[in-house]
Amino acid sequence: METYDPAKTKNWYILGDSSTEGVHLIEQDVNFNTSMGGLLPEQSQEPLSLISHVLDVACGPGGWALELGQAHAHMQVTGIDISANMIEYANAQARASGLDNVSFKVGNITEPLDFSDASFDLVNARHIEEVIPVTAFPPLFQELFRITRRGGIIRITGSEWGVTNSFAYETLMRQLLRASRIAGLDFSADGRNIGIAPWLRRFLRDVGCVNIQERPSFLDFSAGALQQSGGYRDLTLAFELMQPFLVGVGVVAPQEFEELKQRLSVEMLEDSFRGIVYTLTAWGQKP
Amino acid sequence: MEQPSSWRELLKSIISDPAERERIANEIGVRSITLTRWITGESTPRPHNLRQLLHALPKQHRDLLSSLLGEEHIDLTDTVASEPPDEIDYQFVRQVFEARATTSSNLLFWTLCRKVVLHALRRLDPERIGMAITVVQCMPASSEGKVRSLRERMGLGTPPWEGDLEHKAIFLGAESLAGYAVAKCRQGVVNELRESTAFLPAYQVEYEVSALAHPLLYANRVAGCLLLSSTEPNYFLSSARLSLIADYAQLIALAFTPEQFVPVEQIELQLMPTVERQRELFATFQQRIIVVMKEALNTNRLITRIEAEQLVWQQLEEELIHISTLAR
Repeated sequence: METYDPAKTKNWYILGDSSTEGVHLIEQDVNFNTSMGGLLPEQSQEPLSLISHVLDVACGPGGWALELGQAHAHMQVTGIDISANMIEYANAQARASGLDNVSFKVGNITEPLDFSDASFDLVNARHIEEVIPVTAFPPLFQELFRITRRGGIIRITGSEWGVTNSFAYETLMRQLLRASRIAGLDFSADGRNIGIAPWLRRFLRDVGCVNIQERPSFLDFSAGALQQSGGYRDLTLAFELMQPFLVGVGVVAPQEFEELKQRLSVEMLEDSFRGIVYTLTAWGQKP
Repeated sequence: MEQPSSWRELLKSIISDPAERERIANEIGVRSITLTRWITGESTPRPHNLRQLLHALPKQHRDLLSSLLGEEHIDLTDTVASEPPDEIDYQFVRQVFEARATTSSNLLFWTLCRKVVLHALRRLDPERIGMAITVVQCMPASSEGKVRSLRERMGLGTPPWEGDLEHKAIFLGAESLAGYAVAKCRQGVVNELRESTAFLPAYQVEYEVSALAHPLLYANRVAGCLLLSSTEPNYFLSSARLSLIADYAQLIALAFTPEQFVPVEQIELQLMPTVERQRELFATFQQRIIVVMKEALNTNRLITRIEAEQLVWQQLEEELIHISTLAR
């Protein structure tokens, strides 16, 4: 079984970087694009036509960057991620589509970024709270600010991990939050949530961004909701993949984890199941 | 009319006539909404789309469009050499082998199928004209040792199909193109489903204009087929495309275990009821899964969702075959 060891791998990603996770993230991107209303729903068409160089930070298998490059042929989109597996997969997808305006390279966002000052018109980071420790955020935002052009946009999206009426989901989530706290991945005061949302504006303000705005969205995966089946598959897979993390950090025993997963499968299929994930996007301009 | 100042403005004025909009969209193989998105800047056409657009316009507009594109320094040439047309990028093939070697058995089918089908969709429908790709699997053999039906196990599509086709999955039998490909262990193609001239068994599903089924083989046995549907007529005439599809089918076959391949003599497909009749029965699917999983929980047995689904699909197959037999 894989083990979770960020000190050795420099990779904090709690679900690992397996082939399954690559495909899972592509699917998760589609779910979030739908719930957020598109790739850049908060930006009006006119500024979009002025954006030519885009960076997607911690891009995973490149789902968001590929879709953006496909929709906007005038944009040059670059994705970086610490996982060589994810980058290989992303580049394979770009070649298959014949997209010459999208490229991917390996990069560690907890270290200085390998880009010149003022390289990008838009820098995007989605759900990086799952891949870097809390302490890495302030220096990362300094770097994002450095590589953004004057007038360019830094955009960050974070999610709280959902509220449901499923006993198994809430139990697994409590264990996940405990494990995240031990791994240094949560912003909350007491470990009852990830706590990223209130920080997004602050990160942008602290590095000097202006015209900061926010846009909330939510992903409803309740029984009968449009995203029920996507949410179901996303979560059941995520729990499958996070077993090494949860067991490795020591917050749950393997047998208990198996039983909870089975119970979760049943509860999420019940007609009475209700579940919502909250997402906040914040963006600001470099003056 | 005032001289338009950009190519988008020119296109806007041309397609203000709905008939012309429809004609141009058809001619260049995009949906009319795509033309609207180009006008608003919501999306940008690729160089070859612009070349197609130039050809589709009447002469007087063509020259103006060409000059406006020139003024905006828009290059109509594709800059990067694409892969050879009839080969899958070897780096991707290596990733599939790596995934097969390192993915646990309970996630292997899902991981490999989605990885390969996502790649195939990008490769076979890069302009998103409209394609669905479905992995079809033989149902387990009956007590008499015969495979009586096939089931669409996973599928993905580009618009007008919804991205994930799993919830639309149905059983297929001897009446289907997939059934033909599996029973004969041979590729089957219908280039124009709207015409009733096909010699092969096939019926048209939503949006489908042409279709291809390629068997999934191992050791001279068959596990199912890869089924492709296109919104375009004759989409599967190109030999380069056929060769690519055969290669993708080989990769998909890696997602199956050896025992899921059966000798062709065991294939005895029945006729399956209509899609509508099947869907009536599938309305009970979720409830049946809950019953199976709760029973397991109450008796302290661990059962995966996949195992529970397989049991329920077998119940449904039995009932569908019964319905079909009664109808004859």
